[in-house]
Order: sequence, then structure tokens, then C-alpha cells
Amino acid sequence: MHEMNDKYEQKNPFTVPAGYFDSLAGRLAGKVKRPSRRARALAPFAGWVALVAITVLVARWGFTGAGETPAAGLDADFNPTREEILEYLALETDLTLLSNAIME
Amino acid sequence: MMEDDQDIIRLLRPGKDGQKAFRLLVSRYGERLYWHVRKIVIGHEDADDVLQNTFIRVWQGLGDFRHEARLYTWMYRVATNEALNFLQEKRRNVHGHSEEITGMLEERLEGDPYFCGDDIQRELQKAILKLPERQRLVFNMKYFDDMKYEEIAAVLGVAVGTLKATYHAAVQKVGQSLKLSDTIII
Repeated sequence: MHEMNDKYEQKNPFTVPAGYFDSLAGRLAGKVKRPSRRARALAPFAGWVALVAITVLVARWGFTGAGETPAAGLDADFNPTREEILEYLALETDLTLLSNAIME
Repeated sequence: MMEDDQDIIRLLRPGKDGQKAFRLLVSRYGERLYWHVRKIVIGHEDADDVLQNTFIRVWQGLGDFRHEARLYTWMYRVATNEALNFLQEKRRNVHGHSEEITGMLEERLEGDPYFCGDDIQRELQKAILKLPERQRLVFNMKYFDDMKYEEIAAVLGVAVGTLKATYHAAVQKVGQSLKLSDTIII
């Protein structure tokens, strides 16, 4: 093996792009983020938390029949002004019936 | 392997500068791990990818690091596993034929713009590529990295006696390959 060492004096025949090792630490530091101590401590329980959350969602969906079409409700965007309400009532109310009721 | 890693381990404690510890880790061991990985995967781009994965794994696993092993030995083991997994993945893509992987690595060697060796060194690298995986690892760690058998044993988890036999067999095979290629007579 000594002969081999002599013949291959310059052992490493590979090179790298210029400045590769100078920038290595900076490049790698940007790619790794170690989880915080709290996150690492909670990690083993993450599976259980996910399981409970899924169970609750499934149970709620089953009891409320979330798959059915919801009943029509009030449109949250419908917000008429006072004038619009009065105009609507004037058009829709049967004034004759109203006056008869007052006379009686 | 001479360095004392206590400074890095101290910086990894809660409330200390973790980023500083990481930069110290990379600047101290990045280059040596790179060359180890490079000799396994041959191409620079592949070595760079494997090195990144190695440091990500090291960083994520530092919490589980057992201090009975030296930090560098442990990192060397992680890098070795990452490099072998990389080749395993390549092998899977060529339907498990190890000869094709060897051929692919040889091609990479031929076209590598970051290879500064002469023809003799290229032939040596090709001869090493023909070795079985374990022999190749041991040969590289012993011949190129000048690691002691005890250190290689700690990284690979193999008995020193076995390593000596493996290295001896690897040297014989490399010598035979070089003789066959008429490049050099050892």
C-alpha cells in the first residue's frame, strides 16, 4: 500500500466550485430550522390531538347532518335603509283593508 | 476528530445561540463530510444535495444524540447513511441493477467538470467504483480519509478485525483492476 500511496501522492482528485466551502455554512443555515424545545416536547402528542379533533368533527357531522342543504336564512348582506323599508311597506300593504280595520 | 465538540454541545443548550452552534458545526465538519460523501456519490451536485440532507438530519436529530458517541462519529454515520440511501434510490430507478449504478457513477466521473485528477487517478476511482459497497466505503475511509480502524468501526458498527479483512480484500481488488486496465502496476 505504501507504493500505492507514493504513486497517488495527491490523493483527492476532486474539486469544488470556487468559494463553495466559504458559503456552505450560510447556505445551510438558511435551510435548516430546528423545532423549538416546546414543539419538540409536544410532538409526541400531536397524533393524539389530531385524532381527537377528527373524532369530534366526524361526530358533529353525524349528529347535525352537515351533509344536508342548509335552510335558507337571512342574507347578512341585506341591510335596507329606513326609506327602503317604508317604500316596501307602502307597495305591499293593502291600504283598503287597513282603513276598513281602523273604521271598525 | 481531534476537536473538542463541547463548545458546540454547550451552544446547543436551551437559551444559547443555536444558529451559532449550527454554523460552527458546518464550518468544522462540513468540508470533511462533503469529501466523504463526494467519494460515494461522485458528482458535486449530488454530493451537495446529500450534504444538505445530512446537516438537516443532524440538526433535527441533535436532541436525540447520545453523548456516548462522538459528535463527529455520529455525523459521519448520518452522512454515510444519507449517501447510501441516495444510491439506493438511484438503484431503485434502474430496477435494482448495481452494475448500472456503477456505470452511471463512472459516466459521472468521466464528465465531471470538478475532477482535477490525471488518467491514473481516474482509473483508480473507476477501480474503487467496481468494489462492493461496504469495501468501497472502507477503502475510501482508510485510504483517502486516513481514518483509524477504530474510528471506521465506530461509524460503520463493524468489528475492527472485519474491517481489516475488508480493507485488505478491497486493496487486492483495486490492484487487480488497475493491472487489468494496464494503467499501473502496484
